[in-house]
Amino acid sequence: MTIPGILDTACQQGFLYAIAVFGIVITLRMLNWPDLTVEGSFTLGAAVLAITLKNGYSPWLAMLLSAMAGFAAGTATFALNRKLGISKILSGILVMLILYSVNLRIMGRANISLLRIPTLFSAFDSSGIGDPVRLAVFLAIAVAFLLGLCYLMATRIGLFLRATGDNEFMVQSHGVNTSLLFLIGLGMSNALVAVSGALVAQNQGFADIGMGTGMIITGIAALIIGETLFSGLVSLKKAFVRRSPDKEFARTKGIHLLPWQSFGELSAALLGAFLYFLIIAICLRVGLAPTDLRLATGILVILGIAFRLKGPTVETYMRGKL
Amino acid sequence: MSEAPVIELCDVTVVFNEGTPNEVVALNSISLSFAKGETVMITGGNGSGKTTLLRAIAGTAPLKRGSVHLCGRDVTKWAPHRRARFMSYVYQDATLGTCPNLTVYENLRLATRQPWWSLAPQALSISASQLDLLEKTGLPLAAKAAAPVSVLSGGQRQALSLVLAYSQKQPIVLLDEFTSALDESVEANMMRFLRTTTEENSHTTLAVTHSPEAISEIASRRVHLNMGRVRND
Ligand SMILES: Nc1ncnc2c1ncn2[C@@H]1O[C@H](COP(=O)(O)OP(=O)(O)OP(=O)(O)O)[C@@H](O)[C@H]1O
Ligand SMILES: [Mg+2]
Repeated sequence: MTIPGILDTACQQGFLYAIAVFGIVITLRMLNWPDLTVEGSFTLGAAVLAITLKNGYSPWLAMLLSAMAGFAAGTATFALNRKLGISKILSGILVMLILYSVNLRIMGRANISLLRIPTLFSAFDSSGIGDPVRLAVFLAIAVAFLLGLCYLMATRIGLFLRATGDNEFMVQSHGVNTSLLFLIGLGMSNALVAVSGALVAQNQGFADIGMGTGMIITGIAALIIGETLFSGLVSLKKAFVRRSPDKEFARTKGIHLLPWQSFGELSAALLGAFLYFLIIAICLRVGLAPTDLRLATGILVILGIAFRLKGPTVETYMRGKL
Repeated sequence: MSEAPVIELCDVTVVFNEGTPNEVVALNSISLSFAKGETVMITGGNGSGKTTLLRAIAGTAPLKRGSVHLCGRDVTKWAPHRRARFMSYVYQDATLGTCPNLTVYENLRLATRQPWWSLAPQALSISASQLDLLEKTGLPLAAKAAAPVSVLSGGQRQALSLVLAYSQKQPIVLLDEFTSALDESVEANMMRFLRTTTEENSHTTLAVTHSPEAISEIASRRVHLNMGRVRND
C-alpha cells in the first residue's frame, strides 16, 4: 500500500505539529495569553533532544529533558510578566529572543544531523515497515495527547485554568493563587511545544536553529482552519437538527455540562494542523516557491478570520480575539 | 458576649497613586469593628470610599497605614487570595463576579469548596444546595446551566454573582451595591433570602447601598462615610 506523497508529508508533519498547536490552544484560547515563547521553545525541544542523543543517551530520556526545558522556558516568560510586570507579549518576545542564543549554545552549531543515531522512530527505518505504520503511530501519539488534554479540561484543575484566563479577578476571590495556575498553564504549553519540536526533529532527521521560526503563526493558522471548519459543521448540523431554544439549555446535569467548547478547540487543533500542512504541501506541489510559504500562511490566516467574521463591531476590535 | 470582632480595622488609610498629581486619599484613618452576625449598611456619596473600604478588607486596596484583622487573625500582609477564605465579595461591577466565557454550571463549580488542584473529573451536575439558591433568585438561571454566562443579561449576571457568593458559606459577606441591576421582584427575592441565610449562618454582612430603605429592615447598624472618614456610626 502506498500513500500519495502529498498526503504522507501532510500527515507526518500535521500529526507531530498538532502537539505544539495543543500547547498554543492552552495559552491563546484558555489562558488568554498570546505566548510568543513557543517560537523559541520549539527549537529548544529539538536542540535539547539532539544534544542528548548525540551524547549517547536514550531517546526517552531525551524526550523527558526536552519537555522539562520547554517547561522552564514557559516559567521564564511567566516570571517576567508576574514578577517584573513586563507585558505578556513583551515577556514572550524577550524569552524567544534569549532562547535563540541559548539554543545555539546548546547545539554548538546551527544544525545537528540525527542520521545514524538511534531515535524513537529508528524502528521504522531499519525494520523496513512502511509509511502506513509510521503514520498510524504518529496519529496515535497525537490522539493520545488530545484525549489526555480533553480529560484535563474536564477536571477541576482544567476548569480553574480556563477560568483564570477568563476572569482572573474572580478566581482569586475564590481563594486561588492564580499565579500558580498561570505558571502551570504556560509551563505545560511550552513543554508540549518542546515535545513537538523534539518529535519533529527525530522525524526529519535533524535539529535546526531556524525550525521554530513562525511557529506561533503556523499554530494560529492551523487553529483557525480547524475552528472555521468546525463552526461550519456545527451550523450545518443546526440547519438539519432543529431544537427549540428553551430546550436547548434546560439541562442541569449530564454530558452537555462537559466543556465541549474546549474539546472543540483541541480537536480543531489536530484537524487544522493536518489540513494546514496539506494545503502547504499542495501549494508546493503546484509550484509555489518555498520562500513564498510565509506569504501563503499569512494569507491563509487572514482569509480564515475574514471568513468567520460576521461584520466587525467595536466589540471585535476591543477583544481583538482572533 | 465578649467574642473577638470578626472584622477589625485599625487606623486604616488608603492612598491611591501616592506621590503623583492624581493622589487620592480614599480612606483616612478608619477604625471600625464588626461583630459576628451583624448586618451593616454602608452609605455615603459617590466617591466617599465605600468600595475602597470593602477592598481594604479584601486586600485589593493599597494600604498605606493601619491593620486589618479578620476572625482574630492579623491579615494585613496577606494576599487577596489568602484572605478570600474568610469572605465572599459581590462587586459593584457585575461583570467582575463571573467568568463570562464559562457556563453557568462551570461558574457554580468554581464556587464549590474543593481544592482546585484535583485531577478527578468534575461531577456533571449542580449540587442540590446550589440549585436551590438559583431557584431562590426567581430567575431562569438553572435552565441556562449549559449556556455561557455572556449570554445572560446584566441583572442575571449580578444575581448569579450573589448566588456564587452565598454558596460558599464564608463568615464574612461583602456586598457592593448588589441590587443596582436587579428588578424589583428579584430584589425582593434576594432580600428575603439574605435575611433567612444571615439568621441561619450568622454571617457578618457589609452591604454598600444607595437606597437605605431597601435594606434598612435587615440592617442592624449603619455606617456613613464622607470623604474617606466615618461620619456616622
Ligand atoms: N483604582 C483607583 N485608582 C485611583 N483612585 C481611585 C481608585 N479607586 C477609587 N479611587 C478614588 O478613591 C475615592 C473613593 O472611591 P470609591 O470607589 O471607594 O467610592 P465609592 O464610595 O464606592 O463611590 P460610588 O458610590 O461611586 O461607588 C474616589 O475619590 C476615587 O476617585
Ligand atoms: Mg463604589
